[in-house]
Amino acid sequence: MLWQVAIRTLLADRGKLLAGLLGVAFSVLLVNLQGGLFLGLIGKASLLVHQGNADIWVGHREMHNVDFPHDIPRRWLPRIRAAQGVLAAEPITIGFSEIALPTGGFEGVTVFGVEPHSEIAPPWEIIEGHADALDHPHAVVVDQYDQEKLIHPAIGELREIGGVRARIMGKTRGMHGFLVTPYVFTTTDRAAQYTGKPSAHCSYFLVRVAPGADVEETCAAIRQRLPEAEVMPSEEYASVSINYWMTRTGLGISFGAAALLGLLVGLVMVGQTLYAMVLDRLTEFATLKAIGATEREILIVLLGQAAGIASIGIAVGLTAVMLLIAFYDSPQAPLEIPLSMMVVSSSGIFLMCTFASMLPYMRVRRVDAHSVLQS
Amino acid sequence: MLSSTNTSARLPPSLGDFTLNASFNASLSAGHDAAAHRPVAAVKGIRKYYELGGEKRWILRGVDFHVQPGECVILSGPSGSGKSTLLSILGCLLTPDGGELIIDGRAVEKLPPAQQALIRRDLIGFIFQRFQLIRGLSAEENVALPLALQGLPAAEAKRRAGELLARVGLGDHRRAIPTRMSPGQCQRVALARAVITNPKLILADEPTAALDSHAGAEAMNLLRALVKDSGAAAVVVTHDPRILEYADRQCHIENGLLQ
Repeated sequence: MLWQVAIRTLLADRGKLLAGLLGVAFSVLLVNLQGGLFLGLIGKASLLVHQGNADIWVGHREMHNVDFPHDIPRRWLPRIRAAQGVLAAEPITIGFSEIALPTGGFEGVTVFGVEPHSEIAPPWEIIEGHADALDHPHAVVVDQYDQEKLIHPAIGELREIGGVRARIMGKTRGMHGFLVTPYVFTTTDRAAQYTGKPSAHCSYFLVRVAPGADVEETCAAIRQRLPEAEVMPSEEYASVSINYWMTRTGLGISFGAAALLGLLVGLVMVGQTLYAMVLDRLTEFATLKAIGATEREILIVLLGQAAGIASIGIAVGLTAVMLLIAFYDSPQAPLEIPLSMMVVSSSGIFLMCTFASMLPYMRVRRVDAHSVLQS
Repeated sequence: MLSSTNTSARLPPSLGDFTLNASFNASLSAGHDAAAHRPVAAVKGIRKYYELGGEKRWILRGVDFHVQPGECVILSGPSGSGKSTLLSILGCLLTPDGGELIIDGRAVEKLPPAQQALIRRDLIGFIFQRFQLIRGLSAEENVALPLALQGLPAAEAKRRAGELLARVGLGDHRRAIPTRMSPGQCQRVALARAVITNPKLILADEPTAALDSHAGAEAMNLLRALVKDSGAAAVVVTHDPRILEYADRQCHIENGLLQ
């Protein structure tokens, strides 16, 4: 019956109920949006690692970000391939250059060179052009989401990268890194030309371990043969790359603060709504007290109202989140909102809402039934 | 502590037209003989002050008062005389600054608020000038609320509330919310809510003040019938001279003292 009192009195004041619901829904939306953008963004920081089939990345000492490698000699390759547990190893080259634009300008690009027909390097889906695009002379592949930055390159169009001829032979979708510079995919040899790196150098070696071999043990075997290199399992290097952006840019703090702000908005809105409702209905709470409702029962009524606002508001908010994912998610601004984030954020907001009911409860506790009912 | 299970048995079968049933009365009187001589509520030397502008203003200056089972006492007096304060003290809504308050043979003035809430829940029914019904609840739910607070399942509480509403002539308004009812109907709902738990003491603060003369007379007839038939005691605070005729006893309070 107390739950009925809670819900009915809530429904009786629809204007305030709507304000409370909007507050909670907005809070759910804000927390999930911030969290989703954050995960999407840090996912981009490790895109090259996560997209590939490599089990191990081998690079320069203290490598800390997949997009910022230091050159290492290609001659390390036989020593890596000879290590216990290694199935295959390939060099890749990552470097910065500039692509000439039809307008006469230049756009900075990140050149990513892989071995022809690589099965370890990040796979990409060619959505326009030939599947074996890189087999063509001077071939490069760009991403369709960088169309505007690259002034709409057409398939077969000739450009220059680092002053060297490059022909657009394919377009990928969704290969969009953390940096603002577009990725240009090509072979390691051509990448060296475009970036001006010596052809005897590369950026990393990608390693596949043999079936049944342990990744950590294979890493140790490579380290033994190449003590001057850094050797990391892919997951670890992905984390290192993510951590680079997190610690050096304050990204985590700013997104975390925005998500916290969302929680606080929910808290304040629900608290304010319930408080305003209580102020409007002080005589009813005084009546409840007069007819023998205990403090605990009045708290149940307020908790019921907070839970009601929270539940409906969370449902509305999550619906808005789903719609946002459906219509807004893109490689430029990926929204990665896993189910666990929705559950955790909803639970957190629900708890916040119930906590918010303490504010009106403190007011109701101070209600003097005698004076309220005399007025 | 009162049992709520015999509520319908103690109420007259035809409260709608306020007539009494002889056998019903006989069963009532037998049940109340033992406690007949003990006041339902009594105050001794009750004092109460309010602080206004840093100064104590005494509202009650040592009031002795009692009310017997089945008795309807009307408390009258000018504004600020202390009659509503006395009513609130009798209803455990206000703590006196001196004196003794006894409800159903038990000193209650020093009980903690939680226990006073239980006294109100089980022994006292309130009727307010502005009805004080819960706006979001139907008439039936408003009347059922005290039973639900006593722990009765909601369905059973509503069933009994529905029966009582039918007896006070509101059988067709069980699902109506207070804002859709006339003041007279609201006061009848409030009366039903006050008696649904079969309280020993009914406290009414200006119960006719918001009603026209016809509805006021109806409300007082109903209250009088409920008091007479249930054996409960009633204390009615009023300014309204038209309802003095319903009293078994009248008390006039002025300057914080009973005259």
